[in-house]
Amino acid sequence: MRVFTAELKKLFILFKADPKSLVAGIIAPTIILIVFALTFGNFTALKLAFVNEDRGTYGTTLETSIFSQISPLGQNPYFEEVEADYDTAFDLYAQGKVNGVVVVGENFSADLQNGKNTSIEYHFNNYNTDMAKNLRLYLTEGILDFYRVTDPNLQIEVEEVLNVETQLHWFDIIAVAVFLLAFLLGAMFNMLYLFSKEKTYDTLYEYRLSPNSIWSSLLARVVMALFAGTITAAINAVFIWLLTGINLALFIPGMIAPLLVLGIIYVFFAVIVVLLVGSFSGAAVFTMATTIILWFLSGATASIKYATGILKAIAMAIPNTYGLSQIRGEVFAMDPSVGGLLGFTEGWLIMAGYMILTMIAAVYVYRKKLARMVG
Amino acid sequence: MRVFRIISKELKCIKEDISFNLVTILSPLLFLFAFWLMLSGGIMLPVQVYPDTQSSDFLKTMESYQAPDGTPYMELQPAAEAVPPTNAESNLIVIDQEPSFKNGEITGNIVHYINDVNENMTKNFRNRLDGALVSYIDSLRNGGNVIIAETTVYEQDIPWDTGFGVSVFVFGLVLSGLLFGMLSMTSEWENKTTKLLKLSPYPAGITVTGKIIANIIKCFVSGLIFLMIFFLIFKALPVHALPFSLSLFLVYGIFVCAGMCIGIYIKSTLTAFLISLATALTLWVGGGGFGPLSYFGDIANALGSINPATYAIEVVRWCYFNGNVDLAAGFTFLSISFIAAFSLILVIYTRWVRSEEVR
Repeated sequence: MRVFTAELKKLFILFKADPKSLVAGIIAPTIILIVFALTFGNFTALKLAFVNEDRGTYGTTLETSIFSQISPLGQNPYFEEVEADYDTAFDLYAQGKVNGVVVVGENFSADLQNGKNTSIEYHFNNYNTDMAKNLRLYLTEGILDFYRVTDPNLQIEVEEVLNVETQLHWFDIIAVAVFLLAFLLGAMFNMLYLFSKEKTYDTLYEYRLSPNSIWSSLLARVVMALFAGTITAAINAVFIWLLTGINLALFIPGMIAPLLVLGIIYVFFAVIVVLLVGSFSGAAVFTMATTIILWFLSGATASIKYATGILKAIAMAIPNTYGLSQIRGEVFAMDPSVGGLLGFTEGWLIMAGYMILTMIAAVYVYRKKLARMVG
Repeated sequence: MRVFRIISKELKCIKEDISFNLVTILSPLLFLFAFWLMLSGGIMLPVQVYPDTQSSDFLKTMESYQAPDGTPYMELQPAAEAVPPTNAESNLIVIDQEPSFKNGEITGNIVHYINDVNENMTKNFRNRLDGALVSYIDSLRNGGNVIIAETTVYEQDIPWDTGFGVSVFVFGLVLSGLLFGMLSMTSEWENKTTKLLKLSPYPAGITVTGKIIANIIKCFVSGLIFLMIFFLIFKALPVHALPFSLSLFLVYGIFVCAGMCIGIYIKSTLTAFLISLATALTLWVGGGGFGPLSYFGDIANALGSINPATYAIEVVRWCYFNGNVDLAAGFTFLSISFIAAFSLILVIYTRWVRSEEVR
């Protein structure tokens, strides 16, 4: 207990003297949060130029159908119309100012009135398969509406039944994951930074002189790291509240257990890497980059229930997946098991397993690298 | 001659912190691996259906509804019963009344159980279902259909994972430029050799140029390793080698200079690394790393227009996939940015070596 208290006191002095150890947990997740807010939190309608050369009225009806369809994502129209003549439309398209151009020919109405099929030209940027898929399917939404409006004999009904408690904006879901990242990075970086400071001050060798067991000093480091993680997560939570209106403070009782367990796992991971690698900067780069990548793979931006193959296997093997799902379940009052995929008990067993394994490895490496060796 | 000595010294310094230099190469590779995994599923979404596909012509159409490259939009999984899923893995589509064409009328009733809280997934499922419906209606009717004649920028849709891999490569360019640039300055702080730089009788420009060239060489080595692994995964090579090399030089140059500026002020390798990582991520995502900026709002587009990563992504993508990119604008912006970044580090470094060191 004496070593623990002394170590904690020393770490707190180091922490106070150089609060830069909070930098990682504040800067990196805040920037990630803002970037995601600007991108995933700010979807707008795709710009589409519509050139209507139709001699009849169906062209205008199609125009109305295409530009009046509303996306469930953000409740914006899929397309924003850019009114232009043929040449201007293609100039804008060449400059990348519109995503596509729809050209309705002069016989569009005549063909339909004569009971024939008709065609339209669709020029678009198939930047990648996802973008191309969206541009194709968004236009098809307009065409389905056009069919319904113009053909009274079309009586196919699609009834949508909401089988979940609510519908959430994509960014809100990501923001909660960023909160977890802020906690993990803040805790890990504190651990690494304070090690680095002690390396600079040449005080690490003093452990070898200690007549006592040093495991309690490791415990003090973990406590200090979790304290720093709490500060960085709290700062991040304020940004999340400002950007989304979600007050994460209300959900602390339900979030604290998964946060604590994941925090301990990642702090021990940082200890192992930093002591094995020897280079503090190298260890920091590796652990931070690995944490961000594992964060992505654990369903931070997209639910893992649609993952298949190796991605699913990896996601299921990462402890964050379970912790994040429980945190989201708490915040959004939704099923934390992700449709039964992540069982509550199995999730806790996996997280606890990781915690014990990393703890054993960290204690072993800590003792081997820092403690006094006799004989 | 002096420049060569600086270059030689900088390259020898790799030995000082091999692990850091290695992880600078490894970090973009880890991102490549992660995103490759994340996008390996492509655009296909699993969806539960009832009854099974053999019992419904509409579901057969849904099953074969696909993108032009042959990738189905949906992977149909038969549900055991037509009840609202309580713990289902995906959305459920129930054919309540089979869509059919009788007496000139097309009738049918479909129930779509939305089983995901994410609005984006609701959009994705709805789009696919409606698309399949249009395809089925077109197959039932002889007239009144609107056929879409497509003309696309690229001959084939760029596969999502390959396109993203090229995008991650640009992230790697930005990150390695920043990290190597930063490390060349923070190592001086940590080795306590800043005094030697300040006492050097040679012009600051020579030292700066030597450091920049050495860092660009390191960046090219790390880029080459990335490209080799990228090729092994995706079997894709740039089709315009000269513009590709030029763009790499400019992007590395910009971010090496920026990294050196960070290194002068931040001093700590760890802090500078984090700032570099966060900056690289921000510029990359903000420059269209996650997808074209046209997806996003006006603010994102305005910021993207002054972001070198935006132009780097466009130019590097063109080098791989062609397409209608304004190359002149891209190279002009990158060149101006490089000149600006070089001038900035020159001014900052000169001021720094002339300043007194206060401890």
